[in-house]
Amino acid sequence: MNRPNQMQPMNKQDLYEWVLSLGLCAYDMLLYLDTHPDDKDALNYFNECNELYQKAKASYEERYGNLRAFTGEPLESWDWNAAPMPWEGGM
Amino acid sequence: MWSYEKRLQYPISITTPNARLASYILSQYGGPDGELGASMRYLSQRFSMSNPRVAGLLTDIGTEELAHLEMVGTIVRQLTKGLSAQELEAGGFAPYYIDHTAGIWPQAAGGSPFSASEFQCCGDSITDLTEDMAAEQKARTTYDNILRVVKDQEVADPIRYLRAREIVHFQRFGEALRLVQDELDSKNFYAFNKDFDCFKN
Repeated sequence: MNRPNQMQPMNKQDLYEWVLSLGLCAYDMLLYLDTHPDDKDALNYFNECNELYQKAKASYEERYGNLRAFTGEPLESWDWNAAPMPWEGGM
Repeated sequence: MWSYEKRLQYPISITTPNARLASYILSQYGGPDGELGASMRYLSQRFSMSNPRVAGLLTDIGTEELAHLEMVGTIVRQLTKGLSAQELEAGGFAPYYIDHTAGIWPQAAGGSPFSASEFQCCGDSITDLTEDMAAEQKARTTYDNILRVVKDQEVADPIRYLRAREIVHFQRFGEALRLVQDELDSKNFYAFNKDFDCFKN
């Protein structure tokens, strides 16, 4: 099984796409585990993807603004809906 | 319950508007095999799905379909944004424009509005999962049809992604059907509705 690249790119577009890639990786494993709950390798891979995904998302939000209101951290400003929405090219 | 993340599931950046293409792709928003019907089908069917693992799968796939609905809405938005009434008319989009301007409203490519009659919830695990497998294949076929008429790679790329996800969902629903069958007598899977006839408090 391929392991996701551990290095986090820093430019905005790359970091956004990195969040999306890891999000898909974790979501795909979520669906797989729904029907294969006893597959320990898959569970480990889900945990690995999810950890990288949460870190990438936090890293993006710290630099470029929140993607959600419920980040798990106290908010410094109400910015999740400040920048353009995704369908308007926001990222 | 749900919470929203302000991001697409897959990046979309369309730089050339094309009203005609938008009118085709709109079908995957509110058409017979579109993403709105897909999400409502799975999110409705889970209430009577007695196997909790399968009810969880329906929740997770139904949720992903909402993200796909957002992607299709984004494609249609970006294909029509900034076009004049004349440009929309030239692209065959005038009948839609008269009713909805450049808003996103669920309808089929042929113009019929979204209808819940495009999906079923039979309240029977085997019946519903069999429908779900067919639904994923129908959506894949529709994306194949769209890809044959799309020349713009900025549009084709996310459509290919959505097509690939239909295949993953088909696989998962096949496994879910097997999980349900494993709870039943292999000599008689289809003799009764296990979610109704075998219901016990």
